[in-house]
Amino acid sequence: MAQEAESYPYEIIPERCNGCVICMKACPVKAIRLRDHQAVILRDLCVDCGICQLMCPHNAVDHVTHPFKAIEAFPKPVAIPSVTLFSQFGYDVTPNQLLLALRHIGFAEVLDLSWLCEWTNEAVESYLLDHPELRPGISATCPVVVQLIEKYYPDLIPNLIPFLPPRLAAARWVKTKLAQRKGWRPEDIGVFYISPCGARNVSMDSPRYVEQSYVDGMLCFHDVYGPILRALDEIEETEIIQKCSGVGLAWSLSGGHAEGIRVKHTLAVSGFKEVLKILEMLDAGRLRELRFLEPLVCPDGCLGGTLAVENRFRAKSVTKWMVRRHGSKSKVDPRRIERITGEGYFDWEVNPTPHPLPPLDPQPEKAIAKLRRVDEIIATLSGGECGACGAPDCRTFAEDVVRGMASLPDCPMPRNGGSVCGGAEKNQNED
Amino acid sequence: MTAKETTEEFIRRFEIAGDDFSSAGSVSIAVKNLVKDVGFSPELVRRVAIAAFEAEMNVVMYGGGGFLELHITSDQVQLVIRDQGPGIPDLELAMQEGWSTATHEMREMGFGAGMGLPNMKKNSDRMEVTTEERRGTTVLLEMDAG
Repeated sequence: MAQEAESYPYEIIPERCNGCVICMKACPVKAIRLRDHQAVILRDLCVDCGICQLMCPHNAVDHVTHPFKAIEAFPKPVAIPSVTLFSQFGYDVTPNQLLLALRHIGFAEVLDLSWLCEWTNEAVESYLLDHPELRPGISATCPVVVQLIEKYYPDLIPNLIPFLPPRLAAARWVKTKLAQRKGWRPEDIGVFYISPCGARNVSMDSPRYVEQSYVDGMLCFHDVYGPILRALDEIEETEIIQKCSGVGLAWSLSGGHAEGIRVKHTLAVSGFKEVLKILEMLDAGRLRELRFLEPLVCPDGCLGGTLAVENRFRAKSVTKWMVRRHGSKSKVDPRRIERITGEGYFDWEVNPTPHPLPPLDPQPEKAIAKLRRVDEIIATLSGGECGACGAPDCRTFAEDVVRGMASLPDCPMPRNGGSVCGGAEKNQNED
Repeated sequence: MTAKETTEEFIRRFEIAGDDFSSAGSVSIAVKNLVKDVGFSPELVRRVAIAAFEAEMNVVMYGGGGFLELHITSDQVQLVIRDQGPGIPDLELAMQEGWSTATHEMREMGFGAGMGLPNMKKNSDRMEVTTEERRGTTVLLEMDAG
């Protein structure tokens, strides 16, 4: 399938954007500016969290996923649903029924990722035991976290555990092993990941971790929910195709992955601001006792994803119910995992690369002068944090000015007095 | 090396609230980010972050509050941390690894391993502690760039 040269998981739709300040204010990494009454996402700063889409009152931010019809382009479409999908249909719909429903709506084959999540637990645990110096090892399953680290905390790149997220290991397996097994030509296979999360799309156009994208398309929960519901009425449950692992099903929930890692001490954190706090502390050399960190930017984990359908508290409850039913004891054979790990089953093909924001200036002397200049500028601004300048707050505006991305006249508010030009003092009003 | 006529210096003072464990650590994070913005090496940033954190925690836990003053020039980062707390009666003892006057509650929270002052020394190029019982403590730390 032809992919566009540059496409991003979340994009502003210019016709619908009226230039209000809401997304710009909501962006937790201050990656949005207003230019000519239009929101613009600064791609060097953006980490694809999707909060802008959640907050926009005008539906002017789109998530870039494929429509359900896209599967028809392939003779053999294969569905890889996130385990989170199993939490979206209430207590009475079983994973087996959902997997059968997916086959019913047009997929030639469907994969249950939960067992691969359980395998990954085992592989990660062994990796941590082999690398006791890693404090902590950080799970790389959340693509927003990987971007956060590449852009804002590049010193933490060595802490990322270099294993593919289960969805990508599965896609790779489909295109290689499953194709062989079924006697299908790889080019006939369309791998579709079914996602609660827009950010995972980044794996496709600009593949992260892999050299080529094994995934041909991504459907969000919204797009398949209706067809699945209708299919549930039509299917006859004559086959058991589920091989669910309770351990793997727990991955939908923050803490689910960490629970399967039997080292002291593990930490699970969810929610963007909370993840930031922990990454800040790690970046400052704290939390040295931690062996493993499971960070997920969506609240409560992937079932809180921006493209999930079910209320996340209900999805949490359903997940816990399913984990109890399927058992939370790992049944995996460690020797098998050791063997396939040795064969590179989980390995990244491409390492993450740092893309940090450059310092204020390449020369420290000038950077220090600029730091002072930022403070000087802020002292002259009204402090209203109104966004009229096109930046999310007064401090960011001052930094933009010093970095040459904006100029002082962009701020239409009355000045606070004090020298604006950094040279001779202007007339100051007497208090 | 030619002497610089005027050296650019960035100075900022941060208040540290005594006994405030909820925001404890926020000053050292702000310090870390400023040092990062200047473009110093990751090693220097890390040393400053750790030393600043230990100094900040001492002010919170023992000093009853005070301030941290950050001085950045292109050659070095200087931290001056001052409180007007009880002072350190025996500085040599306090510099020993493992020696701590942490209360039971502090240890419950994971603090009080007795590594604060030693860690500050390890992560700085120069350290000076001036202290007087009942008058307070000033810690001066310098880390060289490059």
